[in-house]
Amino acid sequence: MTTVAAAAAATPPVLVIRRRLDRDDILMRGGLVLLIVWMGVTLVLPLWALLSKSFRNQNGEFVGLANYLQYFATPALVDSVWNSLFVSIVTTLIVLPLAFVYAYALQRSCMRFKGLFTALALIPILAPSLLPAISLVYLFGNQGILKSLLFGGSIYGAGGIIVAQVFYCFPHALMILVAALSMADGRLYEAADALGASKTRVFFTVTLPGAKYGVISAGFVIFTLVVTDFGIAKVIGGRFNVLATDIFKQVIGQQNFEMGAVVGFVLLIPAVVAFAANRITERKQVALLSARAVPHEPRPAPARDWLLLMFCAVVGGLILGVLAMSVWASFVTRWPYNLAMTLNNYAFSEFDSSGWSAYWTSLELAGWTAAIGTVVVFLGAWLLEKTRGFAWGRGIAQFMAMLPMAVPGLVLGLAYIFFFNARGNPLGFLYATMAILVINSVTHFYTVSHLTATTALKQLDGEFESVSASLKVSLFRTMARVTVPVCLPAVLDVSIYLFVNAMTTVSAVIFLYSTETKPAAVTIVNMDEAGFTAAAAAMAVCIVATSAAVKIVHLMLTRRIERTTQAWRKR
Amino acid sequence: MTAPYLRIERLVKQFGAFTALKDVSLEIFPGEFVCFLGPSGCGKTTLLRAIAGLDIQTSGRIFQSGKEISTLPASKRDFGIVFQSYALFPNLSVEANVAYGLVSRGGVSKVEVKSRVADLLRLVGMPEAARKYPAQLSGGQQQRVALARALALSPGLLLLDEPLSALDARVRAHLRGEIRHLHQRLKVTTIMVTHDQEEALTMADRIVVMNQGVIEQVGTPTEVYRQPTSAFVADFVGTTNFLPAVITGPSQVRYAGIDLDCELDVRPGVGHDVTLAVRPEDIVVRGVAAGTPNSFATRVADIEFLGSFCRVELALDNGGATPLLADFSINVVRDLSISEGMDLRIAMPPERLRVFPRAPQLP
Repeated sequence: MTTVAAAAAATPPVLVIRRRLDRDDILMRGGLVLLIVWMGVTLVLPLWALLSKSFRNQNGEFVGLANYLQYFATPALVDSVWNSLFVSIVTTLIVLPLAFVYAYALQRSCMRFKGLFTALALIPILAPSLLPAISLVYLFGNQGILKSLLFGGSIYGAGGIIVAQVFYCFPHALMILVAALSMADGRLYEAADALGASKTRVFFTVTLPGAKYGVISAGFVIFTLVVTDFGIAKVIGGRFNVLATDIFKQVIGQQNFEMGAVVGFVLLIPAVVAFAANRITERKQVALLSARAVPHEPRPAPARDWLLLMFCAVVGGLILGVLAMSVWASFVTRWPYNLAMTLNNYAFSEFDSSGWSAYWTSLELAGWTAAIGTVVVFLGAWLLEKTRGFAWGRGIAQFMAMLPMAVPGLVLGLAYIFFFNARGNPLGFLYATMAILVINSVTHFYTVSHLTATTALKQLDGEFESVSASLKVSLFRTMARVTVPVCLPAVLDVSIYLFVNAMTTVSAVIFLYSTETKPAAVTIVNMDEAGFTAAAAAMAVCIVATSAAVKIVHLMLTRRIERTTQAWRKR
Repeated sequence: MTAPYLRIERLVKQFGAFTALKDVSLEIFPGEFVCFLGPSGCGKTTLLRAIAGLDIQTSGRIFQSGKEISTLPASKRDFGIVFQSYALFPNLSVEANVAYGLVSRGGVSKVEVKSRVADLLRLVGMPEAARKYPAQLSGGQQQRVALARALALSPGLLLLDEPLSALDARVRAHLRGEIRHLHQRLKVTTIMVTHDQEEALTMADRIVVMNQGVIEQVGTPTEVYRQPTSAFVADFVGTTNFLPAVITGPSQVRYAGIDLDCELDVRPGVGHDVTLAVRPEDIVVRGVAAGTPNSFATRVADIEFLGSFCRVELALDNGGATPLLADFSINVVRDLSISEGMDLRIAMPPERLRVFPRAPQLP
C-alpha cells in the first residue's frame, strides 16, 4: 500500500501555480486600492503640491533651489532652525528623567495612589498645547503672580516655551516609558537577587537596559512634538522664533506661500528623521521579551516608595497647578486688579466674532473625525492585516499608513492649502468646509490610530480567517461577527484618541478654517493675540472639560463592555 | 486498488530563497487516517496548508476526489480544519461556533441547525456545553468543540494541524483515542500533522515521515517502525543504536571487529562504510549461547530504570566510543540478575538489523 507516486522521469518545465481569487479576495484588494487612493488624495498629493510649491516663484514658474537659497541666506529664518532644535533638545533632556522616574514609580514601586497619579499625569493630553502657555503667562508673565521668582527675567522666549513644552510632552513620554517598564522579565530580577547584586547594580544592569528602547523612543517622540508644535511658541515665544511660528508668519502674515512651503519642508526633515530613527528602535524592541517571561512584581520598600510618592506628588501637583491656573484665570474679572469671580470671560462673542459657535464647530469636527476616522482606520488596518497575497498593494498601503506620523500638522495644513486650493482641482469645492477639516484631522492622526487597531488585530488568532474559509463564510462576515466585537475596546480607544486630538489641535487646522468653520482651539490663538487672555483661558478650559468628560464616558463604556462580555473575555 | 481520494503531484513550495517542500508526491485513499510526522520545519504543516489552499504551493498539482483543486482558494475547497490554537471565536457561544458555517448557508432552517449542532456536540461528547463560551472550557473541551465545528459541513477531508500539542499529557492521550474512534465511526478521510511519533504510531493508518521538505518514508506504523527506509526515520521514530560498520560480504558487515549477518539492501559493495541500526528492544539476551548467530560478549556499564523496563548501556571491549543501548524487560533483568559491571553475552538477530549508507551526521 506504500504509494509514493513515482516522479515523472522527464522533467517538464514547471508551471508556477497562481491561486484563483474568490469574492473576498477581490473585495479586499479593491478595498486596499481605495485606501491607497484615499491616502494618495489626502496625504501624498498635498505633500507633493507643497514640495513643488517650494521650487516655484510667486508666478508659478520653476526656479529650482532659489527659494531654499534665499531661505538659508536670511539669518532670521536660519536662526529659527537652531532655536527649534535648542528648545526641542532641552525639553527632551528635562522630560526624559522626570517621566522615567514617574513611570518607574507607577510600574516598579509599591507606592500608593497609583491610579490618581496616572490620571493626574495624563491631564495635559486632554488640553490644547496653548493651555500651559496661557497658564505660564498668568503665573510668570508681565502681571504674573509669581513673576518675582524670575528675578527680573522674562517668561516670554525660550524659557517659557521649554516649561510649557515639558508640561505638554510629559504624558506622551510617560505612556511610552510605562509600557517599556511594564515589560520586565521577573526571572532576571530573581537571578540578579540570587547572585547578590546590589539594588543600584540591578537598576543599571537590568532595569535600564530593559527600558533602553523605550527611553530612546520617548526621546524621539518628545523631540518631534516640540519641533512641530505651534501653539506654545505662538503664545509664549515672544520674539523667540521657531520653525513652526515662521511658517505661520510667512503664510498668514506675509502671504509668502513659497517661502512658507520651504519652511514647511525644512520642518519636515527633523520630523522624518526622528520618525525613521524611532521606527528602527521599535523594531529592535520586539525581540527583547521572550514568550516565557514571567511578569516582574515589585516588592514594598518603604523608603523608596515614600521618596517616589513625594516625587510624584510634586510633579502631579505642578501639572494640576498649571491646569488650575488657567481655570482660575478664566473666572477672574480683571487680572490682576479685580480678582472677583465672574462668568464674563465665557461670553465668547464679546471677544471673537465666532463666539460660542467655535466651540460647537470643534465638537462637530471632533465628532465627525472620530466617526469617520475610526471606520477608515479600522477597516484599513483590517484590510492590511487580512488581505492574502497582493504584496505590493499591502506594502504601499502600509507605508502610507505610517507616513502621517512623520508629517507635522502645520505642514499638512499648508500642503492642503496648496493642493485643494489649486486652480483646476476638482476637489476644490472642499476648501474652507467642515469636510476638509475632518479629512485633515483623520489624516493627521492616522498613524497612531492605525497602530492601535493593528496591535488589537494582531492579538487575535490568525487562523480565524482560515476557519471562515473552510466553513465557506465570507471574511467580511467574520469581521462583523467576530473581529469587531472582540476588538471593541481598541475601536473605542481609536475613536477617543481621534476625538480628543481633533478637539485640541491647532496646528493642522489653523490654515484651513473659514469664518463659518473656525474651531475653538483656533479662537484661543486669536483671542490671545487680541489680548483677551482670560477669554482664551476660558476657551481652553472648555476644551479640557469636554475632553475630560469624553474620556470619563470612554472609561465607563470600556468598563461596561468588560463587564458585559466578561463571560468570554476572561481567560 | 481503489482510486486515491487525494493525489499530490510534485508539489514545491518556496518562501523566498527557502524551499519548504521539494517535489513532494503522495496519494491518500478514501477513509484513511494519515499522519504527517516530522521535526519542526520539515514541511509537514506547509503541505497541509497547501492541501487546504491556505498557502498555495509554488508549483505542482493537487487532485481531490478526481477533480483538480490546485488553484482553488480555500473557500472553494472541501475540507474542515482544526488548529493547535483551536481558533474558536471567543465572543460566540459553543453553539454559535459549531453553527458558524451552517447558518451562513441558505435554505437551512433554524430548527435544522439546532438539531445538527446538538448532534455534533453529542458526537464529540460535549452535549451540555452549548451555551458556554470557549474561555469557560478546558483546552481539551475547546479542541472537541473545534472538531465539531470542523465536521459541521460534513467535509470530505478533515485536516488536523497539531491538534493535541497544546494539551497536557493525560488529556492528550485521552483525546487521541477519541479522535481515532470518531474517525472509525465517520470514515472521513483525515490528515493529521504532528511531531509526536507516539501520536502518529497509535493513531494513523499510514504515516508520512517528512524531513527537510521531502518525504522520507510512507508506510503503516509497523512498517515505519520495523523497516525504516532511512537512518533519519530510524532515528526520528523510536530509539535506535547507530553503529559504524563496514561491509564485508554479500550479507555480512563488520562492527567493532565482530562479523554480523544481516539483510543487505544497500549495494555499495564490500569495503564500504555503512551505518548499522538496531533498536534497543531488539537486542536479545535470553537464551544466547556461544553458538548463537550474531552473538558477542559485552559488559554492563550502566542500568537506567524506566519503570516497565530497563535501558542498559553495554560496553564492548574493543567497541570504541559508541555504547550500545539495550532495553530489557524487568523480567529479564530479574531472571538473569543483570547488574552493573557483569559480563553479558547478547545477540542481534539478523532480521532485526538495518543497514544504511553512512550518513555524515550519524556515526
